[in-house]
Amino acid sequence: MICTALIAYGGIDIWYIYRDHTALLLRVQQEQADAAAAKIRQFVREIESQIGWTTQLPWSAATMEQRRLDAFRLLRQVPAITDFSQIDAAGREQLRVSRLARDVIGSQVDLSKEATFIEARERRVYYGPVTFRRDSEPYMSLALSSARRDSGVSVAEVNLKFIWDVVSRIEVGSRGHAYVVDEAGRLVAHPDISFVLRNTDLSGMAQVKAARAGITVPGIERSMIAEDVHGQRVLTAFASIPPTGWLMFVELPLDEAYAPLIESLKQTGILLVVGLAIAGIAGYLLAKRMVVPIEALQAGAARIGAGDLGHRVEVRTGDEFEALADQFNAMSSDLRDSRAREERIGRLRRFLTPQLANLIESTGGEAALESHRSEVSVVFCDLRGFTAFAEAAEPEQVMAVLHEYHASLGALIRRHEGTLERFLGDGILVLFNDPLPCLDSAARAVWMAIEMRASIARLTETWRRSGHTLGFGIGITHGVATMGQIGFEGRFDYSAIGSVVNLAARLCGEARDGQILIESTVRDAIKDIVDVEPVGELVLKGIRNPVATFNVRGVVSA
Amino acid sequence: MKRRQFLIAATLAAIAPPARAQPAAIPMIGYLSGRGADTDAPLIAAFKSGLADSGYVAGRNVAIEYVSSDGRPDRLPGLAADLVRRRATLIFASSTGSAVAAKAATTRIPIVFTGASDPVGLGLVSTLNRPGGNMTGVTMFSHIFAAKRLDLLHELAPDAGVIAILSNPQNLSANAGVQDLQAAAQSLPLRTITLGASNEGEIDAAFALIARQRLRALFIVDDPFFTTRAGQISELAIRHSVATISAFREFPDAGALASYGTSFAEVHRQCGVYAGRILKGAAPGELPVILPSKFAFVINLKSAEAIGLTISPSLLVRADDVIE
Repeated sequence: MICTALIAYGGIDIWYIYRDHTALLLRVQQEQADAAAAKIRQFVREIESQIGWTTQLPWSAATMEQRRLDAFRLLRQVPAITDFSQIDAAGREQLRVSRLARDVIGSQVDLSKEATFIEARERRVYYGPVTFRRDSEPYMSLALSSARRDSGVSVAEVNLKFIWDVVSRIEVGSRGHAYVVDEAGRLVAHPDISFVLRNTDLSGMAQVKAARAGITVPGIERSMIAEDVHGQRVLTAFASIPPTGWLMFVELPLDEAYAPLIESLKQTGILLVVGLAIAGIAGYLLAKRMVVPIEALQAGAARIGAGDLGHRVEVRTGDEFEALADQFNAMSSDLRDSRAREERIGRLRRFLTPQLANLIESTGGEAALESHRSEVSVVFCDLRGFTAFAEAAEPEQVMAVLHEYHASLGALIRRHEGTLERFLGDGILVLFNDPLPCLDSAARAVWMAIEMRASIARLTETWRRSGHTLGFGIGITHGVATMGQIGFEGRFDYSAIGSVVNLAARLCGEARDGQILIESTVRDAIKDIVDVEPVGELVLKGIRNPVATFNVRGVVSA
Repeated sequence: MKRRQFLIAATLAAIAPPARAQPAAIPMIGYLSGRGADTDAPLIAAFKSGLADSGYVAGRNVAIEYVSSDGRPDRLPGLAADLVRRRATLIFASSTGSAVAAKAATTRIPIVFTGASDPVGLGLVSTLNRPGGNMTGVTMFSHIFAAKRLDLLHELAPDAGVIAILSNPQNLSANAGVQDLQAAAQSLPLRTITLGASNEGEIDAAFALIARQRLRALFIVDDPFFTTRAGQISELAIRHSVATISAFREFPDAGALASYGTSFAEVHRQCGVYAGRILKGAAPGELPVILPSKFAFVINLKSAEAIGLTISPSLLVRADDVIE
């Protein structure tokens, strides 16, 4: 992702650099062409101004010697002029001075029909076409006349080889060069003079064609990429050289022109590669840094999920991952604690009522089991004749009976949300309102007792058929007892201590088969819903006062 | 970049056959002169400076074997043949005679020549702009403006009605122009006396004749031998109060009156440039023969005074160099 972005950025960057660089190069090249053209123009103008001095003298025999001296001076001043002549206003040659040929004075040759004379008289300045002497050396006639009416025409033959001095000094990069072609596309000046002397026709070259075609169009693109005479790709630009009509070309080999760009591209490329490498390494390290802890977490999660709560995820990265792993470990440790508690409670459940177990579980501890005083309803019941039965019967039969008996009562205790306080063989003590608070503990106790009676009655009937004579009695009391754990390490019970418990046991002892004996506190609580009959004031062992006792007959019918 | 080039070079070096690793023999330029070592010294230096344009330095990456005929044209063919035998890479013929001799000696070894006034007329090259063959060079062009020099001599010594022409009968090519010269003189109108000399004794004899005839003006035809004897000729000219003109500034430098021509040193330099380009692989037949374009008029005013000549302003104004 980062790599793609980097490559895309690099590509776009390169494209923009290339485009800007090319535009810049073409513009620079064009400016160079302009500057070079200005130099050639300067070269021509200077010759022109030097010749200008010679047109100022009036025509008379007296001035001839002066003219001759002027001509000599001109030749000395301007090495490029090889021949110089003066034609009078009538078009007759009066003076000819040459570097190579013999000087001629007053030849009177009629030149009035020559273009050189006519054009110069008309326009004051005349630039002749470029001619190649001996098919080799480029020459040009430059003719001038002055504003005087009787002004003749001064004609100079200019050896254009001398432009070499100018052209060879024009620097175009390190391997580029400047050259001049005439209107016909023939080479006039080139740093390699031998090209010029060969009378080279360049009119076939793409850039010369383009320049000759575009020379009249203002604002035309004056630079392009083309091939030079050697077939090498070059950046070429041209500029016209008024007033000669020649064209100045400057050419720079493309590889040189683009060398800085290529260098820059190379740098960009290197930066890109380095960037990519760094991104790659960073990505790898980051991935490694992330993947390793993530995998550890994943494996940890899987092991914890599989039940291995003791497993600890080891991540020591010192960052968020470590924090996450710590949290993970804390979670698994909490899970383990929770599981342990659940197991403990599960074990507890077997000994406690579900209510008690849930209470302990929900309070998160065993605070509910601490010693305290509490108002409770106590139900005590046992079987009549069990001791005799137990002595007479086989142990298997005794256990079977007890099992049926306890199963029957256990279901009822659970349904009425009583708490089974203890077993004493066939005797059972059930509490209401502690540890599970309930508003109608006495009613619940009685209600449960009625159902117990009915349930055990059915059992005693079946036992009787088996030859076992067993009865069932219940005692119920209501009052304050001391509640709490009793026992010793390794064997604790939740127990109720107090007279109310003893009384319930005594009442149970007094009850005959099928009787549910209650004392007055219970009766007061349930008299509206249960039918009771007085049994009398009973004197009970261990109880100081006689106890007004009632027997529950059944539920008040509606 | 540099490292890559180095690696490529190293790879090439590793795979190239061992023979390539041996340094190639440096090119040898046979310098065939029609003059002598003493007068040639500044010209050799000019030639070397032209060679240096192409990066050739004598003794380092190019060898220059200088041989000269000491002004004796008959020795040139043998010297040229010897250079061919010694397997010269290129022959530089520094005079018309040596150019002709070199051409006769080889059509294979590239030849750069100078001196030859009319290389097309002499048959050295077919055209100036595309010489073809194995020859190219830089001409002195002196025959073209022999008449010009005659005019200048006439202006320098207007009172001299007879012009002595010193020519070397052994230098056939140069003598072809003498007839043109005689025709030009008649138009002035002047009479001419042609004096032949091809050794020092004959030079002395020529001046004896000049003295006897009381001749006041001497035209020295281009000839390598005369150039080697510039000192002797100049001394004799002053002694006999003779105004002289030649194409080479060696004469006014040696005390003679005047010269008008192109710079021989510059011509040698250009020859050096051409030689360098040919060593670099350019075909001589493709290099146009260069004509001189700079001409210098040199006057020795001390000599003028010694001879008793007054130099007119119109001459002084033309002088590119005045020796005082």
